[in-house]
Amino acid sequence: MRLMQETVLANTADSAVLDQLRTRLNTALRGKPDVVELVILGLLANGHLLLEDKPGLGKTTLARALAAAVGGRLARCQCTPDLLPADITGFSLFNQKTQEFEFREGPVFAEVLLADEINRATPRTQSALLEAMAERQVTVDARRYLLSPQFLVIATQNPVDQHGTWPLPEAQLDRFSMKLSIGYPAPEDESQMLLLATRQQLGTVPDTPLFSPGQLAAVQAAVAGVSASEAVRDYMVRLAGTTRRHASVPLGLSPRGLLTWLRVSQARAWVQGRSFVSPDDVQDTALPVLNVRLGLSMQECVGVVEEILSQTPVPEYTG
Amino acid sequence: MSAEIPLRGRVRSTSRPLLGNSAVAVGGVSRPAAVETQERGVHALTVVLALLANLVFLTTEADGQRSNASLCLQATLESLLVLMAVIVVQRGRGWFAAHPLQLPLALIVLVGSLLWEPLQRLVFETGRPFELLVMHSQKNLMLALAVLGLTAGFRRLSVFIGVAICIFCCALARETRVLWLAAAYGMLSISWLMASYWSGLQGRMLPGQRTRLPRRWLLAAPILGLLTAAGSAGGGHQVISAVRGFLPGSGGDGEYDEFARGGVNDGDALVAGKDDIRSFGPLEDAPFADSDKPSLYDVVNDRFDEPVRRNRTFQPAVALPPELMAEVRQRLSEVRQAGREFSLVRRKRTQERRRARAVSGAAMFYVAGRTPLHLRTEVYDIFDGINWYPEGSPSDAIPLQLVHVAGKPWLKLPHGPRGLELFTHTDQHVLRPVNLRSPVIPGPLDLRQLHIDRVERPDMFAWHAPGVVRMTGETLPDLVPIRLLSEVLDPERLRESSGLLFASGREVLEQSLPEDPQMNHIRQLALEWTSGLPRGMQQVDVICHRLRTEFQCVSNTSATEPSEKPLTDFLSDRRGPEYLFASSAALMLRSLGYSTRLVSGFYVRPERYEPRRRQTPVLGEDAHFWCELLAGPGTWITVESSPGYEVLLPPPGLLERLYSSLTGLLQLARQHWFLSGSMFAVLAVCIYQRLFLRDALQTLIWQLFPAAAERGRVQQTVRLMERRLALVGLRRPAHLTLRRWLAGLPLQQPVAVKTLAELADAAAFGEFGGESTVRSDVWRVCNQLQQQLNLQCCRVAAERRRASMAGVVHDGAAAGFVPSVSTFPLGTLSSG
Repeated sequence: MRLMQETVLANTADSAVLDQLRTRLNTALRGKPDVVELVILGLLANGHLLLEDKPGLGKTTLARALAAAVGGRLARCQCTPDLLPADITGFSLFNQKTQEFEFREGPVFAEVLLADEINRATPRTQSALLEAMAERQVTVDARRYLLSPQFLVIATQNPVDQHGTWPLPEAQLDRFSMKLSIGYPAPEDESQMLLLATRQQLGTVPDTPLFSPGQLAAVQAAVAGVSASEAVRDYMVRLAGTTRRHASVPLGLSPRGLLTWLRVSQARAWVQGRSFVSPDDVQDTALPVLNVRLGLSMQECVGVVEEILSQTPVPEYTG
Repeated sequence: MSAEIPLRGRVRSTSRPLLGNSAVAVGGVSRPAAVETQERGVHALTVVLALLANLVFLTTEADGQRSNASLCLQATLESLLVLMAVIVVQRGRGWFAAHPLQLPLALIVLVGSLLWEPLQRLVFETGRPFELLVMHSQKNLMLALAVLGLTAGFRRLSVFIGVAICIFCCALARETRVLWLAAAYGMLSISWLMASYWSGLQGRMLPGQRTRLPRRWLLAAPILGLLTAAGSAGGGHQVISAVRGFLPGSGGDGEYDEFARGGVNDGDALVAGKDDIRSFGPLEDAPFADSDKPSLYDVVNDRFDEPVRRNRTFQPAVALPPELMAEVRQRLSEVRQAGREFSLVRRKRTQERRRARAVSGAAMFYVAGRTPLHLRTEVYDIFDGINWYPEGSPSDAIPLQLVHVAGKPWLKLPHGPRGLELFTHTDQHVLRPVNLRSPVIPGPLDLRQLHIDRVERPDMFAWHAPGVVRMTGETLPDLVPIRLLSEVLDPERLRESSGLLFASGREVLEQSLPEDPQMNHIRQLALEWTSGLPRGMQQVDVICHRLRTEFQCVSNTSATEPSEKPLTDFLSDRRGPEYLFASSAALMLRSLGYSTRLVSGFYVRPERYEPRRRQTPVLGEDAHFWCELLAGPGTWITVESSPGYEVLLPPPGLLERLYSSLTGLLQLARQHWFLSGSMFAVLAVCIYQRLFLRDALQTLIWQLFPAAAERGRVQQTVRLMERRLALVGLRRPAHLTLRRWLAGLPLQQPVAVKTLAELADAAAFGEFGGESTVRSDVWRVCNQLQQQLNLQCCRVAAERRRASMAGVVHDGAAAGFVPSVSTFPLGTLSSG
């Protein structure tokens, strides 16, 4: 029996949808429940995700499954060096009949944008996403177009093959909420995967949306309402300050990054059934949140984050 | 094993950000709760100090005129009043922050205390003297400031006034317990200083920097101070006297302060008494009074019976030069006429006569300074087999000089050249004759300077014997302090010295032995005792040691008929009075070729020391004989051969004091063996079961003082659990959350652990309680947690953790807290 039976999350419909989402994503990406949980946190925190790993590990599959579950339009953009900004944001086309320019929406107007191999796009094209990701709007021909409030970018990139790629700039990275690595599945999961392939059951994930219209927005609003006490806020500020003073960190945590971290922590607290953020939420989401914005490799980041957390005392429990 | 811990309450949801309940915004900057907690602690300590100072004042004011019960009642009532006021002020912190009325309130208390006095005198016809009235108003101001001490300034002022009150009371009070209370105040104020400093430091630290108040040192520092003071006190009167030497005085300790107030300490500005002048300390301006007092002759005879006059001719065993022999005969003739010789043949007096002439009961003079002390009055060098004849006074070729030191006249006693550097320390003693009719000034060996206030003429003094000075009048002035400055020989340096000659070539008489059959016996015994030993201090030591250990000292001769061979009888009977011990030692050493002399005088016994008057009385029964040995040119040393008497040593060093304290403590423990054994056993049990006892105490406090609100109760429980874990060595690292720390521990109560972590999180970071939370459920769950996660459970977990760490089975959850992507410990909603 749980200690706290009624929480802010005590909405049966939301709970059921979340379970279904978890099941569906775990079906699409087998043997990686922890990554699935982080992806769910990113979705609930209304943040964008960067999946960085080797080819063939299921990045795109996961992104497609998530997009399908969220509902709405899914736009996939295969980033290549010849991809232009207008190919992402959209462009104005002169209509001969009406003798007027008409705006043709790009993929950013979908609810979920899957930017595959994002580091293969040129910096000019990558920059086209800056405004969209940060402000959920695009400006074309001096005209502002609002995107969906649940606009979600799931970008993937390959850390191995760096030939002909452009690393994402820090400003772009800071707009992602988390950077996740999937990693190779465990041998038993791979065996199971092969078995399903022989039965032609692999990849048969339903593409029906799980969230009813407005439900995801409501859940994201509830997540944003999870409280963070002054002690926890002070703890996060101290952690951010430590990242800025750390000798190994080239780029400390920005205030936008700190806000993102808080939102992800709120999502974790909400998923845990709590109406408040605890230091555990902050610590547990530290690595994926900081991994994308400290300018370090994955291996370096693990050590640095551990060091930062060990140097910063948690708030007192007894006042 | 684990049980379900259901709770029918809930953590209320909220959409607004929560403020920490203990956070107070000051100047736009929020203050951490830790700072608030520490400030409250300092405030509480300030109140305790104020109450202690209040008790000091009340005790002083009572001046022993009120019963203890009435005093306790008043102190208790005032303390309760203060505590209630503190509670009111603490609860109204916010109000006082908005309305800074502390200063006007404190001033009202001060003025009210002063205005109350005329009213009291008018209505109740009682009142206080002016100085007590002032201090009474200050005391009330101190209490008011302590009560209103929400800011550091008020607290500091309160403690400052408390210190002033304690100093005032110590100067005024006549009761010893005031000093003890003031000492306790001093000890506690050390803790206050530390806590106050730490509290101020905490408020000035940068965000992100944290420090812990060293709570152990808050207790340890005063206890160490207390132990040091107790250790010094345990060293006996010598140590106390030595410690006093470091303290300033107004003249009593040799320091002189022209600004010293009359009536303070025992200085030279002390006001003379009127009724019983002898009850006061040494006085410079006391009136000279004549009375029927015993002379030195009476004292010696009363102490050692009356001599039997038998004139003998001095026949030295070795031939002396003719001119010296003539001088000796002249001197002996003069001495016999003056009756200054000392005979070893003495007759026991009848009881009636003894009672009629007894002078031993009253103090003859008082000595302030280190003891034990040998004060010389007569020096004997010639022995004819029965009588000792005093040595002649130094010739006028060695004039006494008067020098002025700090405006005071000091008589300087010159001494001849010395070949040895054995003196390491200069001692000062103050003599105050009260009942002695003699012009001879008793002084220690190696007396160097002498001071009697207002006596500025050297011709008022004359030599009496080597190193002994007398006044030219008939007797010493009564009650006039005589300050003596002497050098103290270091016995260790003496024994390590390689230049000891034990002769200077001139002391022929000090080596002379009479032609007497007793001398053969003495010589044989000396050779027997020192056979195989080299010439030097070893021979001296063994003679003294055997005399002190194998012979019995009796105050008077037991035989009614005087013995013709007192020394032979003494050496065969192995018992006798002190002069026989000293004579035997002197003659045995002479027979071995050493230069010795017999000395008579007084022995200042340390056991007679009166701590309150800081002086030692010397009675007639303290008349004493001892021996002096020539160690080298101009260097005589005291040789004490009588059991029960000690020689003054240089002041002890720190280690010696500690050793003395320790041995004193051990001696005390041995005297009260049952009590000390019981205490030791209880202490051993307490130490062995210290974890259990500490936990029991903490649990008792947890049970006796529950918080009023649910959140507070949960936080109390969390604190208790954390302390319990810390007791068994599982103190949570500051950077680990409670949930993660508990999850990493091999505790066998998973449900309780989970519940505790959830409750701790909710109480600390959530909005706990509310209308839907059932108070009894919170209490019940906390009780169950306390019972399930008991000390035994924590001990088992600690042992298992140690075993797992020894086996390098590292617990990842306990040590590393950064979840890798592949092991992210995120719970799921459905599995929750």
